[in-house]
Amino acid sequence: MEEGSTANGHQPEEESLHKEIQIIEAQLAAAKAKLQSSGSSNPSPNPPLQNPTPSTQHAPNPPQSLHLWLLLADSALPIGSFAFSSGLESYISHRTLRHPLSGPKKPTPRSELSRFLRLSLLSVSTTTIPFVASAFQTPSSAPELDDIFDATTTCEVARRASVSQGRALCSVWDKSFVHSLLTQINPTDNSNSSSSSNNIPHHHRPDHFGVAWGYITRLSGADSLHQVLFVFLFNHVKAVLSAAVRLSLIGPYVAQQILASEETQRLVLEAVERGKGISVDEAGQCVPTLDLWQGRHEKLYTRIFNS
Amino acid sequence: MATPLSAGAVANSPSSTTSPLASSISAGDGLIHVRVLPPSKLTLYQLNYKYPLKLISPAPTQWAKSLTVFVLSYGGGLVSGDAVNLRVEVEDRGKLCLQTQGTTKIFKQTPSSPPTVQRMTVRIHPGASFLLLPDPVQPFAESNYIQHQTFELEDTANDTSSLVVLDWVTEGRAARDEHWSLHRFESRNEVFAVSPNTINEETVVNGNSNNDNNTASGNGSDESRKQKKRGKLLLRDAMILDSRVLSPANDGETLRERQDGQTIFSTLIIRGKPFEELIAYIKARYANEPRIGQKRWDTDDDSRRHNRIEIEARNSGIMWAASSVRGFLLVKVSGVEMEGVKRFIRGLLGQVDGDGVAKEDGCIVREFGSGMFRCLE
Repeated sequence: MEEGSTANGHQPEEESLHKEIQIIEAQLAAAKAKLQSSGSSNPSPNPPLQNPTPSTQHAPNPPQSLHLWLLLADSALPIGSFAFSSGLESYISHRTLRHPLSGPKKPTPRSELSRFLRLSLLSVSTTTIPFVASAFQTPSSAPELDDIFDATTTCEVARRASVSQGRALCSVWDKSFVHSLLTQINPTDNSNSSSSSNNIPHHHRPDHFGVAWGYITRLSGADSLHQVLFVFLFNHVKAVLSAAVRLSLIGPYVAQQILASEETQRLVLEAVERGKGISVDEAGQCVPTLDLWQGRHEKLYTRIFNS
Repeated sequence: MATPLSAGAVANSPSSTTSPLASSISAGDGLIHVRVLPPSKLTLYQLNYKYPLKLISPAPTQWAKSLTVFVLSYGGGLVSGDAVNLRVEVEDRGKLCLQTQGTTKIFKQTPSSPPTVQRMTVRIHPGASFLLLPDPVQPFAESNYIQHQTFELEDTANDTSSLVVLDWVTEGRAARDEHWSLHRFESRNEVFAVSPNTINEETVVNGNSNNDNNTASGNGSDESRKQKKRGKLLLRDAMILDSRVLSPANDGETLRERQDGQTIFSTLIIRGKPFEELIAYIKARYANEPRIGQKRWDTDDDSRRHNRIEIEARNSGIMWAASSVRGFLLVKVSGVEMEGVKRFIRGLLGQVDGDGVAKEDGCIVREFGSGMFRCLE
């Protein structure tokens, strides 16, 4: 903390002002949270610092939003994602068989993994992401979306993986999150988005992971579709990389390196954009080999994952 | 080829009230209506078509167990902008097999023309059975093709509305060095459970091609309303191959590379009482599929001796998977060469034994008679 000691006095002054604003904002948020948890249902009367216009839906409450995403992006979230490799295990088994050691360009485990990651993100973006987006945007249609997704997911292994994680996510919601997340965030939601969020049926529990993700994030008061999709896909990448580490394809440092890389970020962003532009009725598999690999997972002689 | 029934011979008679197509048939439209007249005479109650679609039905022999209609396109292929819209109705105890004569060639999309579209809606009454065993679709370089097939089952409670559908696509003209050089290929197979009393309304909805076009580009609420009308979606199998979905500049992988050397992708959808034995057979085949172990699965695996068909499948690079999904058996087969894939699928549908000999009274032969596997020979 050496503000003021630099020659140029203008910038440090601005900086310290920014810091002050941050501190005051954090205090404000804390005070608001206190007020809400103490039972008052009305939004607090805004102090002069806060923008009083009703367009609060565009300015998410940062601490709450951050809190939510840290919860949902946590690898320790008990939905059992560690048990699934999304087809990676089967893919690797098939590929090593296909390409004998004497191939012209022998693929390395890392290049195989990068390729799989790319194909997997492409496939998820055109099959699952449309359903995540739709469940988030119209949570009232979650039951129908769940049924359509069930009819659309024709690979038995992928279905099991999706249902298992979807149901687990709903259990976590019911058992752990519903008390804090639903009550804490919904009041502010109600105040700005008219009656739409009042109509969300709170009782339905989707089976499939993608639909459950869209639905639960909406119930939790997430306000940005982009974030909902980004975190879903980022979690997918993490699950695949974690599986790759346990399959001894890469080490943990390389896994983090891939996760942090610009390429991964770009692939995830592209997948978000691609998936957003596809309606539920246009969704479809665009990497047909992936369905085969994943479907043949149960034919592996030894396997450590469920998919 | 036997003499085809003259088009519209029946439909032009004033007694046909169920077909709006008869009066307002437009380019590419077709209608096939199978009815069983007492005591048990299979007849083509209606057979209508208009260029570029052509339907040919060989006169059935007296003992024929089923009717066969060949779906043809003039000049052996479809050019960009062609839109085929075929409506099929199979009534109680009716058995219809649709086949083609050679691959459906999809020509290059010309600039500023819409994609080539084939739509088919098949209504299967209780007790009716439908086979769709065409030759594969062969999309040429730079082609753009949309295929949308809808199957409406009237009896899903007792599963007496039955079907076997084969949908397959090849990489293109390999001789011209076309390997998945297409622009876009979309195939969608949807199966709905519908109630029989919606029949007239349905015919009207689907007979009107304008209405169909609206749905394709329509908004979500339109789609969902139509969905409700259509009944419950049981299964949707959708495959989209798009050469432009990932830019090669960024990822260095073209559609061809993404296909991993596979040159044929096929999907089989099977459901219904008459095919229970066939479903059980394919499931058993898949359950016995050699395990993929540490050793090379295509050379040795000492857990069990493999029979001829399994070895043959491996040698021709067959990769397949079977799934039981919501009352259906869904089989995906891919391979690297046509003959091997044909033999393999013929083996599945013909319920061959370990030596590759087809079962004499396999489901399809028993229900439909012989000659159903032309596309697999």
